[in-house]
Amino acid sequence: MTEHRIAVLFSLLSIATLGLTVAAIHQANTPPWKPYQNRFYALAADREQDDAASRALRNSQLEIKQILLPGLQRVDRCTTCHLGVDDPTLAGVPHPFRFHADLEPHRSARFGCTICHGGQGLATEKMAAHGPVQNWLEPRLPKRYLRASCGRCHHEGAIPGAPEMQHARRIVGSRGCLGCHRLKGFGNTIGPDLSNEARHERSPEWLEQHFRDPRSVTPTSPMPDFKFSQREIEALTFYLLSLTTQPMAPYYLSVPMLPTAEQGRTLFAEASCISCHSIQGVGSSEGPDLHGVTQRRSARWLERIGHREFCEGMPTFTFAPRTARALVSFLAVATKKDARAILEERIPTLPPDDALTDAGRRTTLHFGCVGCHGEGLNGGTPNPNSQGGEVPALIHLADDYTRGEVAAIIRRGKTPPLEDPKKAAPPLYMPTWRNILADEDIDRIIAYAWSLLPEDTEAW
Amino acid sequence: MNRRSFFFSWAKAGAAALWTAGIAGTAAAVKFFQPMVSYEPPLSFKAGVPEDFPVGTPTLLPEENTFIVRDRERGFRACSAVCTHLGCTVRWSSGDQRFYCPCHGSVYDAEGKVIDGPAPRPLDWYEVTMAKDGQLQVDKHRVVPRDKRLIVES
Amino acid sequence: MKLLRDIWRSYRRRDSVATTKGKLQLVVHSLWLHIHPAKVHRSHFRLTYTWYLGFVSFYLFLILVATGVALMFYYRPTTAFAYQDMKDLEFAVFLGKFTRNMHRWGAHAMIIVVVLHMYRVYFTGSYKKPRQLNWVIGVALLLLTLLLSFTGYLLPWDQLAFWAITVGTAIGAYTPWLGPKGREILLGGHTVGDAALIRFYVLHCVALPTLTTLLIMLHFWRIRKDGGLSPPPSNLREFESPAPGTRPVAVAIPVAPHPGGTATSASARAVAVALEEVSEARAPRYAEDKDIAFSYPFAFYREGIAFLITFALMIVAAMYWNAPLEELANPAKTPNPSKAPWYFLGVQELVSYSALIGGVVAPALMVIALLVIPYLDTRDVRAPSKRKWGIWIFTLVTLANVVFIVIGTFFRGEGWKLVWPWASP
Repeated sequence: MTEHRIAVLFSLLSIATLGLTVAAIHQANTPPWKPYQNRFYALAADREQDDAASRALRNSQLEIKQILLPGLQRVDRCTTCHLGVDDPTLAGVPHPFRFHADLEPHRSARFGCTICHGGQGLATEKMAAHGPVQNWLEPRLPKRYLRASCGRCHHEGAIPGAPEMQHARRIVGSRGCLGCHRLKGFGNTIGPDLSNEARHERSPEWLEQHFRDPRSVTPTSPMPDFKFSQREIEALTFYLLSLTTQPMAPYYLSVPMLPTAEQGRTLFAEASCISCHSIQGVGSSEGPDLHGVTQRRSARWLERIGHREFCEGMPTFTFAPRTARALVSFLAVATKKDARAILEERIPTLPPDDALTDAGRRTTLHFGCVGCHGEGLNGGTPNPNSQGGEVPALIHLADDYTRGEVAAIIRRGKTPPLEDPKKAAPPLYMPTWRNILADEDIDRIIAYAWSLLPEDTEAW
Repeated sequence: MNRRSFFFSWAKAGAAALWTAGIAGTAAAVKFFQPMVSYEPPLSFKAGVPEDFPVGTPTLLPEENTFIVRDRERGFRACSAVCTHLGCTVRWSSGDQRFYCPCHGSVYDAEGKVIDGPAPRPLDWYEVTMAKDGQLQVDKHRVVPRDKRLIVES
Repeated sequence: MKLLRDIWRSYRRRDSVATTKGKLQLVVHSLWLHIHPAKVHRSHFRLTYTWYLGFVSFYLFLILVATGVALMFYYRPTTAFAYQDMKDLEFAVFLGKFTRNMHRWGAHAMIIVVVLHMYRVYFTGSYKKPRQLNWVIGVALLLLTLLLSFTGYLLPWDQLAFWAITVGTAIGAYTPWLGPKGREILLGGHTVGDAALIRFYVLHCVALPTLTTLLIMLHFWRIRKDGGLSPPPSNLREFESPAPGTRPVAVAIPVAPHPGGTATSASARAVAVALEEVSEARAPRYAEDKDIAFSYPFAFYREGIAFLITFALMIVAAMYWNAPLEELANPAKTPNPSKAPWYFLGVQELVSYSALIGGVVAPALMVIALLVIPYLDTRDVRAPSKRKWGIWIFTLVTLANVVFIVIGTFFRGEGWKLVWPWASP
């Protein structure tokens, strides 16, 4: 190449580089949120009566707006485009500028947007913010499932405006989900831990389909077909979409950190403590009288109420730390008047033997045995390649085993014998329970299982 | 034009383009370093609803370093809690109705005027307006005279 | 005014570049430019000789340092903030996305370009005496480039980063004796966490760039000391390197007469003497003096073109292709498969056959082989046609690396099983 041509090439490339520099700067200077802000300020200026205010609005500086929420560990930039959420005069304007009705008491300055709606708060472009976004764990929830987010902060029993949550908690209790899954630290490990399900990038449609037919979305899933009704599916999807392990500042959680005696009383009644304990002589004499227990025992010991082997003879309960503290608050002030009132609210107590088997029944529900062994422990859950092809029913346990053998199986666990040794192992198995159930729990479960044997079996 | 001047003007154009690109790039780099979002508390913020604030005692908003002053039933003002000497946070003393700075002994009266100590200027008073959702909006960008109040019709 | 003229003259002390003396002074008296010789043989300009790969490597390094320092203003190297700061750069910083993209694509480009540069130097036999040490410095620079890319890979703290570094450090830990201890020092612990992040950050931003800068300086200095760029092999029938044992011939680089008269000034003579001293003893004799050109403007135009093409391509890449950012790093969730950064995927492929042989022995042998090439190959021949064996072996090993990297990238799926890349997961 001649020198002349070299020089010309150099000049051309310089001009091209200048062009590209300008293009890059232009690209950075025209982010997608700026036109939205321009449209908003024009709209607000048109609606403004006062000329000076109108002009001020038209000349507003364009900038990213964000809500800092350190207590929720997030930053929300939604208000960069959604500029009218706090302005009641903009109730009827088109999106994205419309006023957000019914927000109280969840004011946007303290709660932001994504804690309820999901989506990527850090983003400043529409697709990235709303999704679906690859690799962003909290997808934006469709309107139907929006109230699932209530469960992130509202852990109390009945949540106003979200009855599906309580329904779901009842289903989890009665259908035995904890037998295979972990939820908030309780449960077993046959299935995946669900404590953070809201941040797993799962769509509500996927979750619904999974409840309808697990193998249609996960072909290798051993989850039994629970034949949930449509309402149950929706409630469970709601519940799962509320589960997150992301820590939040305490003032966001609706159950106060200083649990009240009132809450404790409700829990005392729900957990049926009066079946074994008395207060100032009123109640049952199975276990010790609880009056003044907070003065006899240290707070640290009391907070372990319900833990495995907390106190000899007492069954295991899965109480969250706040629950235990609420109970302790109640016990500090409880009198025989409270005990009498609770007794009157209850249905009459069962005779001792029936009480034991009823306790066992509740334990099998509580710890999820029915999840694999079926409702009423009647079996019926398919378990491919196990002998018999199903998870066994437990109603005939008394015929086949001694109590000691059953206790050993519960503690140790058991892999089911294979139908065909050359094929894959069965997906469901009996896990070990010795770290979760105390001896008393196991005795109760066995009492319940023994009580299931039909009385009128003809002797062979 | 002859070959020499043609060559010459190409060189000039190239040099001009490079210089322009350099200047544009430098300006863009300066803008790169200007923060577009801040993780500090915003200068214009909502303080809460009027009912949150008691009459008589200034209420400190610690994160925004601002006092909300409701010295009459319906009148609201906001003053800075930052001592004008070297920036410590002043405290209100109900007993003698004064602001005291713990660092170097500055004393301000209830209107923010310097009574004692090394502070060079009185405390700033900020504009308080009513936001559309019924909360008090404090704008620390705008310093106003100390007797300017927001009157809230109840 | 005289004052302004004095101020100007205190800065600009050379003659105008319209004069020969000015052209020489511009190069020789400038801190930034004096690594260049004042005059260069025109054969060095040929695109198809060096493809300017060395220059492009250096320009990419400069671009990476500039964009890297800019990114440091916004990025906090702790697990609490790293990922969020990456998102902030993408969404809430002017030219943030652009700068990050340019940094990432520049890093990938630099690895490819330095490998191509190494191949070119091998192909033209430019590692031979007296340039053996410069080749060794080059190998060191190659390893530093890979380490710089590796340490930077962790910083976004997403799943891609976390698991790539987990796999990469695990491969390194297979080294006997030193491996596990080395991994512990690198990570500041036994897992990839906050300690690893800050160590990788300091390595990536301070320690490794400093080492690289020093070695680059040495690398350029050595080029001059070795007699400038080696002549293209096709020119070698005209002249050969000095036969061993003979005293090398000095080159007389002509100094054009000072415009204004035949008398050369003392400074021009000094320049001429200095140039002779610098280039004596190692430079081969050039057959024709008319092929020698002033560095300014002829070499600088071409270097400028190389820079502008590099920079323009980087701008286009940064504007239109976004660097990846997967979900937040999650030690509890291992992607299947977990892949090392692409330039280590060849090693990971070998590791899948044998951890020790594939992960430690083979790469170590390759590095040792590279280092000894100039000391084993002492034949005085540079023409590629006369070095077929060497070129075939080098090419095949390079291609094997590329093939393994391609397999590792596209043809390995879950559980490191072979899959067709177009099969859906």
